[in-house]
Amino acid sequence: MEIFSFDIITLFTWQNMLAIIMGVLFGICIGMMPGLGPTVGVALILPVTYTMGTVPAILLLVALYQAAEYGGSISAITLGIPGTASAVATTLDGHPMSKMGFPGRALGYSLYSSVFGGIFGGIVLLLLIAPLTKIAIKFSDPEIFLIALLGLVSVVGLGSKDIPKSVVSVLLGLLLSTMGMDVFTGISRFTMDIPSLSDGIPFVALITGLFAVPEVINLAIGNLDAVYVSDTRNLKVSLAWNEFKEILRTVLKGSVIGTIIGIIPGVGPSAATWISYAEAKRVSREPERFGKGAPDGIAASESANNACVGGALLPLLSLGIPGSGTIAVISSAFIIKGIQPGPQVFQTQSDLILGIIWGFLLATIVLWIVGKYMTAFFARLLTIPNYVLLVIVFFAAMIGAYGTRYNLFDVGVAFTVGCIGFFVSRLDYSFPCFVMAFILGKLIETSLRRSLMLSRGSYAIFFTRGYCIAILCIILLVVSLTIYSRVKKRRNAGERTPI
Amino acid sequence: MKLSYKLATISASVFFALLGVLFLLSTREFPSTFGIGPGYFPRILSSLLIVFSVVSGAGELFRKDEFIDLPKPANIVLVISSGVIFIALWHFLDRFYLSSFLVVSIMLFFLDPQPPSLKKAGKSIATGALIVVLVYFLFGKLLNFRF
Repeated sequence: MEIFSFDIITLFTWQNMLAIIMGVLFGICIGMMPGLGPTVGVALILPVTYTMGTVPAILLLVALYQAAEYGGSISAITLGIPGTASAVATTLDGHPMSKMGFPGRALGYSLYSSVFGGIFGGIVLLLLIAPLTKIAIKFSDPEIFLIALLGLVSVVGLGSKDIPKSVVSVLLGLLLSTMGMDVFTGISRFTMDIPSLSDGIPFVALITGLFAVPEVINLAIGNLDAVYVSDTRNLKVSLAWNEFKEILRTVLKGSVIGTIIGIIPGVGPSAATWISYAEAKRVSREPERFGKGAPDGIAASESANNACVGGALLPLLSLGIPGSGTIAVISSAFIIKGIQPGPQVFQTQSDLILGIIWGFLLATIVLWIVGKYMTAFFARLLTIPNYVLLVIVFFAAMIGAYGTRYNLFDVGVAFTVGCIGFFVSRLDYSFPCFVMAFILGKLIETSLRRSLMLSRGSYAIFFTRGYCIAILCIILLVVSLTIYSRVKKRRNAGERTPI
Repeated sequence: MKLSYKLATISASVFFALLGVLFLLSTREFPSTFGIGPGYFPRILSSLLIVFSVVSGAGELFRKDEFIDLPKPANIVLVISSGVIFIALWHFLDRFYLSSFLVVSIMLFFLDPQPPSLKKAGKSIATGALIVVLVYFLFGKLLNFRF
C-alpha cells in the first residue's frame, strides 16, 4: 500500500517538529479562549506560514485545528464556558465533574478521548485518501465543476440557518473571486483600475478580516470585566487505564460519528458532538447521570469533535473541496504555496500529502504530551483580561493581512471586510459559505468554462458522462434532504422559521 | 442599541442586489468569445445574486420582526475608529511601530473598564509598549516582516 511507502523519519526535521509544537501550543491557547475558535486561530497564524515550507506550514495549521478542539474543553471544564462551539456538549458533564472536585480527571477524559478521536480520524484519512484519489483522478473539468458545486450545495443545505441568505453568501463569494485578471484572456475584471486588485481581492486579508475583526468587536461589546478565574488546584491531567477502559466504547463510537460527519461538507464538529452525545446517552445504562458529570458525556463529545478534523481533511486532500470554514482557511495555505489541493497533488506529490497525514497523526500524539503536562499552565492563561485579548487579536489580524504582500491596501481590505462582516453576521449570512465559495471560485469558473468550450456551449456535457450523472444524483439527494428537513421542521415548529 | 432584524435584512438585500446590478453592468465591457468569455460566469452569478437578494429581502417582509441587540455601541465605534486611525497614521506617518503603540495604548485605555486615572493611563501605555515590543521581536525580527 502506498500509504506505507512514506518514509516517516523524514517528518522528524526541526522545522516540522517546531511547526507541530507551535501549532499545538497556539491551538490549545486559542481554543480555550471563549469567543475565539479554530477558524480565527488558523486565520491569525496564516501569516507565519509565508516563510515556511509547505509541509511544516500545513502541519502548523492542522496541529492548531486539532489542538483547538481539545483547548475548547479546558475552559468548558474549568469555567463552564465552552472555548469553542464544539465544546458546548463537553460543558454539560465536564463542568459538573470539575465542581465535584475532579477537574484533572475531567480534563483527562477530555484529553484521552480527543487524542483517540484525533488518531482514529487520522487513520481513516490515511486509509481512504488513496482509493478516493484513484477515483477522483479520473475526473476532468465537468466532474470537477460538479464536485465543487456539490461542496457548496452541501454547505448551504446542511450547515445554514437561512438558505436564501446562505445562497447569497455563496454567490457573493463566487462573484468576488472573479475580480482580477481573467486566466483565459488576461482581461482585468472589476478592478476599478486599482493595481492592488489586479490579482483579485487578497484572500488572506479577506479571511483574517472576516474571521478576526467581527470577533474583536464581539469581545468589545461583551463583558470586558471578565477575568476568568478558575481554581487551578487539582488540574493535573490524569486518567487511569481502568477509567479509560470504561469509556472506550463511547470513545470509539464518538470517533466513528465524528469522522463520518467530518467527511460530509458543511456539517461540522458541533453537530458531531451533539449526535455523539445523544447516542452515548441513549445507549447508557445510567442516562440519568448525563448532565451531572458523566465521563461518557465528556468522552462522547470530545472524541467526536477531534475525529471530525481528520474526516474534514479527506475531501480537501482527495478532491480539493474544503468542507468547513476552518478547512477552507487551511486550503488557502496550499494556495499561498502555489498548490491547488485536489487529486492531482496526491498523484504528483504523494509524499507531500502523506507527510501531512502522518504529521497530523504525530501532531495528535504531541497534543497528548502537551495536554497531559501543560494543561494546568494553560488554564492559568485564562486570566488574561478580555480587553487586552481583543487588542492583541486585532493587531495580529492587521499584521497578518499586511504580511502577504507588505501592502497597506490589504490591511484596509481586512478591516473593511471585517467591519461589514460584523454587521452581516448578525443577520445570519454565512461566513463558511462565503469563504468556501471565494476559495473555490476560480476552480469552479475555469472548470465550467473549459467544459463549455469543449462542448461548444452545450450544458449536455454535465448530463451525459457517467461520473457526472452520479455526482448530480448526490447533489439532488442533498437538495431533496435539505428541502425535506426544512419542511419537516416548519411543520413541527410554529415558531419563526427561516426557509 | 437595538436594530430591527427585518429592516437590517431588507437593507442588506437591497445592498447586495445593487452590487449584483453593478457587477452585471460591468460585464458588458468584456469581449465575448464563443459566448463564453470573461463576462460569462460573472453575468450568471450577478443575475443569480440579484434574484436571491430579492427573494431573501421579500421573504423577510412576511416574517415577524425581531431585534438585534448591539450592546455598548460606543465600543463598536471605538474599535472601528481605532482601525481607521491606525491605518491612516500608518499611511501618513509611515511608522508602523509608532502608529501601533499609539493606537494600542488608546484602545487599552478606553476599553479597560476601570475608571480613568493616571495609574490606568500608565498601565495602558506600559501594556501597549509591551505588545509592540512583542510584535517587533516576533514579526520584525523572527519572521523578518518589513513594516
